[in-house]
Amino acid sequence: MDSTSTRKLGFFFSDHHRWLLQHIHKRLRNRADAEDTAAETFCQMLGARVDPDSIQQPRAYLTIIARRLIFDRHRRRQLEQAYLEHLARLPEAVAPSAEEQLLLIEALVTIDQVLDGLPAVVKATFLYSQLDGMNYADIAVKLQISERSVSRYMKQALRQCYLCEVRA
Amino acid sequence: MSGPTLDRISEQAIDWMVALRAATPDEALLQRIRLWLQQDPAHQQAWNRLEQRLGHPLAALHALDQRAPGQAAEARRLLLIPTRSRRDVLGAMASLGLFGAALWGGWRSDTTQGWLADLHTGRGERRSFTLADGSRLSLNSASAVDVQFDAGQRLLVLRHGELLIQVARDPLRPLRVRTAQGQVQALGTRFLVSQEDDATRVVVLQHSVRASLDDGRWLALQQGQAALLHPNAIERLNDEQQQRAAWLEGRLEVLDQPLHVVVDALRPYQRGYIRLAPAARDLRVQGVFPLDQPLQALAALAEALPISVEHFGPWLMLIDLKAP
Repeated sequence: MDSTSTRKLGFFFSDHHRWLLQHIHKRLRNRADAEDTAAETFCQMLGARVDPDSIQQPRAYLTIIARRLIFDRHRRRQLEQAYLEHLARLPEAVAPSAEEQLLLIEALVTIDQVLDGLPAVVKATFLYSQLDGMNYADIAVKLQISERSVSRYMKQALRQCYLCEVRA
Repeated sequence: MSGPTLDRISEQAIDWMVALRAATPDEALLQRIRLWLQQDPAHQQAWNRLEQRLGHPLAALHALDQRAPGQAAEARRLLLIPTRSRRDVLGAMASLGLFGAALWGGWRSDTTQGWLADLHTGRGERRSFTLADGSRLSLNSASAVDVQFDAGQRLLVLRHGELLIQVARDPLRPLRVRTAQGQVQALGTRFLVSQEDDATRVVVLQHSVRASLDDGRWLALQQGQAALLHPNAIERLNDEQQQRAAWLEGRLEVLDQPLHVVVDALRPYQRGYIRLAPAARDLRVQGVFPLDQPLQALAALAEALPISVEHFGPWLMLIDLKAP
């Protein structure tokens, strides 16, 4: 990204930061979380190389990104917490080391992000295949769908994987 | 199929992958895929991109499954826990203008509940509020309270965390604190209520309160007394509990407690997850620790006890017995 557009985003940031922060704060009612989320909103714009001049309605635009981040933040925490609690209950002999736990949670969150938005049955199909290693005939029985549907859902999930830019 | 269009080669790569995963592949299928990959470097590229997208994450989960069978299935279970789809959530928000409390009632996350509560504190934050009747309410870190005052009652609902209240006198409107286990009623007094995992802790600092369970059983507690409200019983606590109010001054005072209790008290102040190895849970601790510097508090613990404290990024900390 060249410095001109970075600078333009900087101006955009200072023009709208106050409003955005108030807007998010109303929803989160927590100053620190609101500041984090506002910062993330702009990081997303930077990462996506958005040209501020192309934004017709800045507030509507920022609201959409911020809402998604508020939801992501919640979902990610929920997943991390649930998995860490599960890992903490594993017997010591097989319990993953702290470094492994980091990797495992990253793995889980990445998969969750990649599959985000797919219908539950499509996610289930994909995970039975990829995590449990089941063949399509068994998945069809398990989910009470046809084998054709299993193929179709696999394709839908793989397409999304292929297209997905994993969010940091 | 809907969605953004892909180029022909990417679509082919996906089709091959779908075919490959159908069942244990036979040699004929493998041969056809090999041929396709060799036809054009672009084919190989598209294939690699598809494999890399989820290759590492899946491999990590499989590796754990090898050692502790059933772990891949557990990961699948977590990933399939139904969450409202993003669109549903956003739709709900939009229709309400902002987060409406009632609609989200079924949502169990403490964080979300905190956002929705009337008064709440974030991680590492303590705050005091003066309520409409003049009562002074203090919230410990990561706590949330709903305030329902009207002509006939003064009700505080402690959704999670810990509160300390200095109640303003109002004989006509008793002040009650509701928790998951029961309620605590007071007239002109100062007391502490803490929502713990499966119980509510009540510590009376001045005068007296009446603590009751939902089934009507109750216990009067005088100044200096404390009790735990369990779902089916009220347990009177005979050891010293007054020091539990020290958080108001930013201190954690520990007379003689197992390490896991001390770590639990620090958790709301520390971002990320603290994993305490079972072997270290019951080490006895005493001392005074700064709540606002949980890292310093943990460092002090590591000096006093035979434990090691390791950090892995901002959101994971491992406490274990020091290797001999």
